[in-house]
Amino acid sequence: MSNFDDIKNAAAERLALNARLRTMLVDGLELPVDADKIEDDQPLFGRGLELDSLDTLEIVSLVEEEFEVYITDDDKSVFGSINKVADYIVANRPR
Amino acid sequence: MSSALTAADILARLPHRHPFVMLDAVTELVPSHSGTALKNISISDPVFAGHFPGEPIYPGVLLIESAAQLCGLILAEVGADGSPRIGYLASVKKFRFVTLVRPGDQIRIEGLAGTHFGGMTDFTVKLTVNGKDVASGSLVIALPNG
Repeated sequence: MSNFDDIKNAAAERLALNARLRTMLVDGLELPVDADKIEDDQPLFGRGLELDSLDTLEIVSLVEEEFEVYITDDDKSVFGSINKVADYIVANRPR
Repeated sequence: MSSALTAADILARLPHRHPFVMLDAVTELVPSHSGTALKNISISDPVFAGHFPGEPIYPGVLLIESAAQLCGLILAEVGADGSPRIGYLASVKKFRFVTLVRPGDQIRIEGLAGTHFGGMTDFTVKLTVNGKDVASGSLVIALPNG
């Protein structure tokens, strides 16, 4: 496979992962927003999606269930955005 | 390792006092993991004066509080100053009440810790009387600086 195809496949996989995360958050947290309207770099807390600390526990639980990836207290920056959650999953999911 | 707590042990580990101590005994306790408690329902409980006159039914909200106290005990490690850490009920999710609880019932309450993050721990709890489901649901307990 060419290098271009590798890059193209990796990009498609990442888009699919981000879409899965958006749907997981909207369904799991019962957010009153359309999953497609959440931007990949939009802050999840504060003025972003306005999630709160209880939601972080829910996200940790959802990521464990869906991806077998465990987020610890040392990884709080993970919750910055969809892209940051996705980066963490890619770096830590079982091979 | 599993251990058991008497009513006196429970009073030493929880800040609650009469009339808000909900548990009579803890039969199994694995710290930070799981526990099982017993609660006896007596017609002498003052709550039955109003819930309901002539038809005593134990309130569902107090069943939640009973389960929350067990979850608090599961997390009640002794802090650096020697006093137990106090957990606060932060969330109640998907609770279902399937059988009425009446005076004379002994409730068995089981709690199992799940995800922990940022000082919060979620628990799955199940309440039964004589093996029959009474209520079940999920709770989140928050430990300040936990």
